[in-house]
Amino acid sequence: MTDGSATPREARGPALLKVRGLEAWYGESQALYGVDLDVYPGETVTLLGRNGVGKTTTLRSLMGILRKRRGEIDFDQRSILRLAPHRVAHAGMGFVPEERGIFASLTVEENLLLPPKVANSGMEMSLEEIYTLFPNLLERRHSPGTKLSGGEQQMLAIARILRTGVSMILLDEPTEGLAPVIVNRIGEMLAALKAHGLSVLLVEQNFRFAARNADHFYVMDHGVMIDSFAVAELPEKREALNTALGV
Amino acid sequence: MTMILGMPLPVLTGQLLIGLINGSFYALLSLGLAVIFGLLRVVNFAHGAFYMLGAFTAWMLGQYLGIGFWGALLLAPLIVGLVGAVVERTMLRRLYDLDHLYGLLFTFGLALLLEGLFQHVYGASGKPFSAPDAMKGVVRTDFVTVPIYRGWVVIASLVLCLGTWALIEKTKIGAYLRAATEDATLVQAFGVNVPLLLTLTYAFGCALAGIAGVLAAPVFQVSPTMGSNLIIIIFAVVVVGGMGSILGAIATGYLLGIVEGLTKVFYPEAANIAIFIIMAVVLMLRPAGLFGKEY
Ligand SMILES: Nc1ncnc2c1ncn2[C@@H]1O[C@H](COP(=O)(O)OP(=O)(O)OP(=O)(O)O)[C@@H](O)[C@H]1O
Ligand SMILES: [Mg+2]
Repeated sequence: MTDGSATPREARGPALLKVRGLEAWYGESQALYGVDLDVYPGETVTLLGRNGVGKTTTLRSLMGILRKRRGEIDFDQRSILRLAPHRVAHAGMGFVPEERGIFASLTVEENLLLPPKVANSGMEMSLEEIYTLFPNLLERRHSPGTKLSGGEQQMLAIARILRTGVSMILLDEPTEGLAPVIVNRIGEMLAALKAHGLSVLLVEQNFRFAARNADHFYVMDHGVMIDSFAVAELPEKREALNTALGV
Repeated sequence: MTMILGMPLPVLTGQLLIGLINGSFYALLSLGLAVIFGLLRVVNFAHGAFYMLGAFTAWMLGQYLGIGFWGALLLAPLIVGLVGAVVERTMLRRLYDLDHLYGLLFTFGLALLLEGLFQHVYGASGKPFSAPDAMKGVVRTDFVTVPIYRGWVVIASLVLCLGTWALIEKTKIGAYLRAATEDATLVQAFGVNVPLLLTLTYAFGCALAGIAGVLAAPVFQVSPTMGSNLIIIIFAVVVVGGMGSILGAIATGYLLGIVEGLTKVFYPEAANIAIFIIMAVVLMLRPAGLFGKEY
């Protein structure tokens, strides 16, 4: 595991998220077998891996949604392993689930305003800024959240976290099932988050999308990390990745 | 005298009013039940017991502390809500991860316990509880005779039902509640203290039952079994309305109260089972209930 980027990750300061030896269980069945992972401030980190290797499980474990865990999770240099999910959120961690989690019984605007302000990272956006960035959300703000198209729902799911003042976002397969044009829009959003200084842990199967947007990559298989490399190393990793991801 | 369908109008309107009164209690109780079920997925069999507890608390406040109707109307629901909060915190919450049947069994047991306790201490007979003096009279017109207190109960219950509906549909805490009803885990991951929300919701539902109990005390008398007599009907109302719909619970409560009242006029023999016949028909034609979502 080398780091060949021009500026080493460590230059960004101490890791915002530091995970060591994370194990997790669904009931009796173990899903994570010792995950190591770092996210540095302002970095976009992509977690790659085949279906069912434990990417979503990793995010759910970080958030504290999955309770049966062992190992180290330090966020902002503080252990969050024992915290309930709402306390993890208040530590500054935002969560955008794989299934997007748009609420049908809430309007678009209610969905947008639902997550409470949890921190003052200085990176939060106001409702006006969000509406300027996503004019279609403004237009549809009184319709039920689930009446939006898939792409709009994904943007809503990300946009509502931007209000909360978190310093890091866990983003689970945001491009899944979306048309290429919309995928590009999501890419622009990611760039905007980055420009705001937010750190992102992105789970992604769309390799081209990930390659364009990430600073650092981790590759996962069967509940462990099998590789870690910077974006600059991508070309030389191509072949190994194709095998690991089975593409 | 004006007659409608062979019935003197005052008889008809009188029964309509009784139906509306009963409907008021059905609506308040099934509303609380629906709110609790929506978020906690617990079928709160103790709901009737909390209704009884509300009435008894009001009676005891008067008996032992000399607190009048209005004071009791304010205090008794708070006390019942507090009891509900303690029950949720210390016991009910341990059952969320188990099969829903456990929540049902637990609340059923709790209902028996509360009822038995009051029966043991106060006996089975009803205790009179009087309406405030200002509301003791009746308003009489050619068409209808309305005891003031009962008319006031109908209006109070309407206000409470609509207030609850507005709380859930129009406020931030209501948005938390609606969202958590869909996906509590995600709402908690957003930073909302969902365990606290669950406690508050259960307490609120119980307090609503407590208010209904206080309102009912001058109408029906206060007795340990007053809740268990009612709870079966309430469950029928909830089944007819459809689980999980707030407006559905309210509307069905009033509707079935009125239908029951009118049955007493036109076919008294069926009055006690009218609601259950409707329940059977609704279950056959629309298993999800009149206002429930079809899955
Ligand atoms: N709720 C659950 N209960 C039991 N096992 C689960 C549960 N969710 C996931 N698993 C198992 O845990 C393992 C990891 O699943 P996970 O959802 O984390 O994979 P993933 O990498 O996110 O896959 P995908 O790319 O399909 O989203 C899988 O073997 C899966 O079957
Ligand atoms: Mg996944």
